[in-house]
Amino acid sequence: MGSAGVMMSEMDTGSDPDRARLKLAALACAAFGLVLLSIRLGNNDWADVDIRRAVVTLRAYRVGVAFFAGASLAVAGVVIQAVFRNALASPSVLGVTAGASLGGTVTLVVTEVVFSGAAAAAAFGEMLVPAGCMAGAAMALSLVLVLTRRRTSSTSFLLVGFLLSAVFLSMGAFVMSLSQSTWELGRVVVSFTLGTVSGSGPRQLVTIATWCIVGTVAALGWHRSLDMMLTGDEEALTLGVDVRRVRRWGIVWVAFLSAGAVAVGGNVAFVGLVVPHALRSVFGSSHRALIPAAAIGGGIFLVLCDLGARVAPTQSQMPLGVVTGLIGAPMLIALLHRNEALQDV
Amino acid sequence: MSDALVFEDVVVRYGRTPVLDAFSCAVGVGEVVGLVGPNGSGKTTAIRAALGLTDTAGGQIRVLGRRVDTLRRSEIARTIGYVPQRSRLEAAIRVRDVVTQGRYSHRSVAALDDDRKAVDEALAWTDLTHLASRSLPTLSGGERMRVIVARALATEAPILLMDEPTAALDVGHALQLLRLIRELADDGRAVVLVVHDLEQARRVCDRIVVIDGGSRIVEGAPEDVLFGDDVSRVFEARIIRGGGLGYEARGPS
Repeated sequence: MGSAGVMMSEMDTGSDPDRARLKLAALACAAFGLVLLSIRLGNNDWADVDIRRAVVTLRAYRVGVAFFAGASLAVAGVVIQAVFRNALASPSVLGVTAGASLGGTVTLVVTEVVFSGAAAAAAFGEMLVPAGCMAGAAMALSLVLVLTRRRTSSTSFLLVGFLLSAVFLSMGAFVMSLSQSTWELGRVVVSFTLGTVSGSGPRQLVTIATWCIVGTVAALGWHRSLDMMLTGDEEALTLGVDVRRVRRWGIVWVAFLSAGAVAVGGNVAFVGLVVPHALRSVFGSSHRALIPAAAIGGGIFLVLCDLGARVAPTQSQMPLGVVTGLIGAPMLIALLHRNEALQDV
Repeated sequence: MSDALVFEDVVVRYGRTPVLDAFSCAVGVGEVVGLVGPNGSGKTTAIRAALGLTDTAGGQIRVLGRRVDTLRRSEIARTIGYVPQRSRLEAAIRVRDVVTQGRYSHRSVAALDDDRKAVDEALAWTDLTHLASRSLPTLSGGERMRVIVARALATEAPILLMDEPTAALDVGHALQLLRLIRELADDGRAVVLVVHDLEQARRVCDRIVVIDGGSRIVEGAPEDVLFGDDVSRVFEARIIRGGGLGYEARGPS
């Protein structure tokens, strides 16, 4: 694997099934408590009960969307790090998140400029941008799979993903520059690019919850094969693993999960990188425990970040992507500092 | 004795450089064959070719009578258990789960009891039962090597390819493993053992194949081969009969 590594405590973290179940239950309880707390916290100073109820309902949608988007990104991070046996891999390395972001940005601009935003919004409702993100992600995934169809090495996939990311990010920056001609459109595009779950409604919640559950269950179905990938391509082959098939299906589920997250939350960095690292030191590397742990842990992380964005004493709400970066990067450094030895995934 | 693994004029090239050059050898059922030779002689390449990890440019390799290049990966995994020189597995996974990886190619719901039995036996053979719940990174290098040997044994494959399996082991566990290899062969498995320690090769092998420059130089019974001129020439060293440090296994077999 070279330079990349995963931090692990020196403690015995190979997940004993009973202990792993207990830890998962504790994590789930913490998540439940945090969700309730996050809905409760904020400006609740309204005398009118109806307004207060409406605000709490909107906040519940927002917290729910943040939870499932974080869960999706963290599970995608676990899978991508296993299929490439690279601790520095994150869902964005495939170019799919950049593709999804480009799709969302283009949709925002086209809706406004060509079709007139109001008319299009009336016709397609709030799901237009998520649909654009899904289309962008599907295009990026198709390109990754076509360009790597004769290749098996992780380097080929990572290189193609890196190059596609660069192309999509450049195209996204170009579209964003076009959007600056209109102040309102420019503001919306920048807000989407920096990540936000503000304004989420029931449709976004149902979409991301369905997307997250399907993707997580699918990833969990591959837990044995993902464990086998940790032994390296050659050893996995000698143990009977169809490495190419596992890698390609892993990529499909990573794309699926991260596209869903971008569709409802825009660009949110670091979740897929830092959450798997933090949880491996508690749950070990066995994917049977690590995938559900990442789903809950990723949800907790993004709900916390969104809470921070909401209650931070700033003039306007901080973009979610900025908060995840500000919290995620120091967390990763702290994890690196705490664990002296860097070990392979 | 029927042949379990046959190399027939096998050629492997890296670029234009031949690494195996018309290499031939056969390993019978119930036989331990030691593959010895200097560094870079082609021992590991021969093993990789048998596992289908390296493309051959000529000749053929047959496993239980079937050409290895016609077998699916899962068929190769059920037929050949492999112990690499150094495993790349470093993840925080329980020892039992690592050994269970050896059952991957057998997987079916109906085989769960068989899986458990094979894993328990492999753990017992390698003296790892008491470490089964430990996480891999908490083990010493020698203990990890025993885990990888246990994983190969859990495959219940009739052929075992072991690339310097005793290199990281202390004397006691090295002797224990050599004794285990002997028992496995006596139980009907064909074992290819790449080994640098010629004394170990003499102790456990039925036959020794000396390889150099990708070709078989000589083969035969250990006593005949190891003290012959070919071995001295290949290793550029004089092998002294009766010299060196002797040791015996202790404790219950």
